[in-house]
Amino acid sequence: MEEILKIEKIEKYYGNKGNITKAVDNISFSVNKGEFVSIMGASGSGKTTLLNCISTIDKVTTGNIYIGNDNITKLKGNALNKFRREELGFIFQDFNLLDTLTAYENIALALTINKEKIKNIETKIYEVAKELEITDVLNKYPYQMSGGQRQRVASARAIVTKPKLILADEPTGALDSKASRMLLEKFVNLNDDLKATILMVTHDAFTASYSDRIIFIKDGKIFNEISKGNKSRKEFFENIIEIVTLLGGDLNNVI
Amino acid sequence: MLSKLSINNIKKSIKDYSIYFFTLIFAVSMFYMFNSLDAQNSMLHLNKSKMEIAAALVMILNYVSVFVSVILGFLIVYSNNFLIKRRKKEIGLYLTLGMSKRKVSTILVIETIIIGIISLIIGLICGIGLSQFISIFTAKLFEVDMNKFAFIFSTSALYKTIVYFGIIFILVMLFNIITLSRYKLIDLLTASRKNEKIKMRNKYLTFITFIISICLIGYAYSLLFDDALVVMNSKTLIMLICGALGTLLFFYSLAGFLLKIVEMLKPLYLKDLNMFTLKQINSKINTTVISNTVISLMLLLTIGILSGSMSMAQAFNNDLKENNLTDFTIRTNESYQMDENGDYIKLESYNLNDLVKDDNFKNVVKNYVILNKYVDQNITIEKLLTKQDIDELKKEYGDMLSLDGNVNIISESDYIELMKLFNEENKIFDISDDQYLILCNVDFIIDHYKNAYQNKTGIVIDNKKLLPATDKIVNTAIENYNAAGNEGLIVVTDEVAKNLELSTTLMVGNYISNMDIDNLDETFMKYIYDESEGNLSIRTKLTMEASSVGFKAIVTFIGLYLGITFAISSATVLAIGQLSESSDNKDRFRVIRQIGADNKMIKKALFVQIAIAFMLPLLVGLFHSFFGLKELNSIIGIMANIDLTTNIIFTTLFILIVYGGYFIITYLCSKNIIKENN
Repeated sequence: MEEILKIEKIEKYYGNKGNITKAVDNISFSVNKGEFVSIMGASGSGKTTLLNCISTIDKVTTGNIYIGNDNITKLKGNALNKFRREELGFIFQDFNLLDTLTAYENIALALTINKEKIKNIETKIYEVAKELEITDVLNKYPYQMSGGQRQRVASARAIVTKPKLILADEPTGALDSKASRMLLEKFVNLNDDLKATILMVTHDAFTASYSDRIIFIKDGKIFNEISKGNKSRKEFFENIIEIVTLLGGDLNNVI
Repeated sequence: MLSKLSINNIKKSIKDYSIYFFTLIFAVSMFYMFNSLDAQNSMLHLNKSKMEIAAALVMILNYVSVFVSVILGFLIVYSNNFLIKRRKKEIGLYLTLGMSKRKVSTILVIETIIIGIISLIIGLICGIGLSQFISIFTAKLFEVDMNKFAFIFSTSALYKTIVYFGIIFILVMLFNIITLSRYKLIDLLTASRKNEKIKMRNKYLTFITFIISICLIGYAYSLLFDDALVVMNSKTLIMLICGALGTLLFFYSLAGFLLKIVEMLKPLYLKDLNMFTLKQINSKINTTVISNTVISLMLLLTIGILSGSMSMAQAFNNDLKENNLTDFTIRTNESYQMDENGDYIKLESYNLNDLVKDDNFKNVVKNYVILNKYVDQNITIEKLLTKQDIDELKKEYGDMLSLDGNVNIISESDYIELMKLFNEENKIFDISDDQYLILCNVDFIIDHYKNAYQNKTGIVIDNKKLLPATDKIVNTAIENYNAAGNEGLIVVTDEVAKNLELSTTLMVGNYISNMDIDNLDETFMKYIYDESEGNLSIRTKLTMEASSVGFKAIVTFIGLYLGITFAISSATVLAIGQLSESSDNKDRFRVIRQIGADNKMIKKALFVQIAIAFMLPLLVGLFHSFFGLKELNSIIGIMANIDLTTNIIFTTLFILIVYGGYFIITYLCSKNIIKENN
């Protein structure tokens, strides 16, 4: 199996001498092509710092991160921007859609920034829109859509450029349970049908139960790791709850 | 404690405030500069007639200052309101922390006081410095030499600036307190989260509005060229309303209209961040229709005032020498009395031939010519022109020009004497009994007279048909005047003239040259008035010079004062508007950066966005002023020949510097605001 993401002993320190906080403390793991991986942890566990480092928004203190064959900790300036726009797709908790653009245009912008050929733009957008069931809201503005629709448009924007890796930061954080379920089912579909590789950060056990593999983080270190394997989603969810209970009081946000 | 907080706030937001500071300093220094003119005048050695005019200038500038301070007051209150709105979250935080609204008001008041004092001090220092340079300019305007440099400081201007701006700052405080008292805590805290609804308009409605706006503007232009600017009646009002409304509707529909067109041009629309930039502009234009309209009309005013005042200044100064060939002109005043039948009869006027016998006259006058002007009721300007030229003139100048006034006629011997007095013997042409000549120095009509000459249609005076004596129009002034004033004077032989009805007599002459002209001029004018008991009027070269210089100075100063005020007002409104959007923009650009746009793309998008916001009202303003100036110049063109190009170049440069300066500052500030703080 091809490795898409490989993290080698990364550490991220904040603060100065004598008062160092290790936000990420010697973490190594890898994600294979076509996998749907979740990172779980409580607030302050370092999961967002980890995601920021992978997404090149933040720099690691030591260690290496490989995406495909590129060591992204060595990239700088425009090469970094180019890498970010060609190889990564982002989905955020608060959607981050541009309020001045329609859904169609929000998705198209990701393509035009990538200098996609004009004749391909429309077909590509309709392809992902169909997959995510947002064809009928393409001409609407973000304020005219529901939260779930917005997040699916944001997902379409992330996937339309066919990135190697999709990074999702608490994608269901601002959604109600029905919309969350629908979005996560779409994630599973994207993962199955389009072979998209997804790395999702969440503190919600229910959300995490949709993924193939879960990495638990506590105090900047990997605490545990479980795979879904052949288990049903319900069994997998119960597994997660067990570990969450082990993890301690912080993470009591179950359903 | 509170003042410490205020000082920290100012320090923190000095970058965001820079445009506001810049405008305040600019406004203060300009206000001081134009009000320090009284001190400047006293430094210059002006003669009495120029002194009077300088005093008039100071008085007029005082009135204009009141108007300017009202505009600046509006501008400062407006800008300040924008800045307060940006700080909603901060104010919300103070209130949640348990500060009372009164304490928050106190913070804002202290801030205003500090900003006011700092900008007053810096502005006054700049103003005092700049007024030293202005004094050189003033000296040049009044045509006197600055023989030595003197430091100029006007206490009255200083007090005035402090009082006027003090009032403005007090108003700002009051507005702040009122705004604050209206805020609700929940609105303050959620201010940034509120999504503005993007209004989308029906495209057919947009299109129809666009067409209507074009029609309205077109109609306003047609009224303009139909002399609406000259007649000053309901037509003028209709023109102004149509123009303003048309501009408003134009901006209202433009964004949607342009967007539809660009959307159709896929290669442009779907390139880099163009789509985003265009929608940014579109979303803003929807909310800035009124400010765009006001700005473009203010720019029209700026351009109109600046180049109009310069043209007028030139018109009155250009050919002062050519229009004052002698030292003085004395005219008999025509006076009439009504008889029992209700008819007016002309009273016997003072005879100029009596005047010349007087010793007081003989002692100061070197030489003179008495000119008898005759009139033939049939001879009007129209009679001297071909049909085609009349049509052409009417088309160009319309009602501004009356062609049915009588043209005066003089005799050949008076003409020859006059030319000799002017030392213009080369302008003497022989004429015979069946010929005539035209004397004229108004440029716009000379060529039309020439056309009639070439057609050799001739004129009929006293039942005799006369033909042109040469193919030249004798280009000469007759009386002392501050502009080219000789619209046409016909010369015929003495034989023809003797049968004509006498209209007026006038005398032109020179003083004996080795006398003190400044004093002599004044005593001579008084003497003429007293001697004739008001039946004679006199114009002298010196008074013409003074009035011309004074007029030029007044027009130039008022033009610059108002022009600068309007220019900085419009640029500031634009800049503040752009900057206040930047917090929204910050979020948007963050998203754009996250989906992979590089810095180059983002900078370009920001630049294009601000450039279009600045260019749009400027282009509309320029477009309006192009037509306005065309008409304005044809009005001024009747008075004198003016060099339009330099005026336009100067005005354009001025606008580019002020407007461009504000544009660059706005771009740099916005770039700073959207910068990601890593």
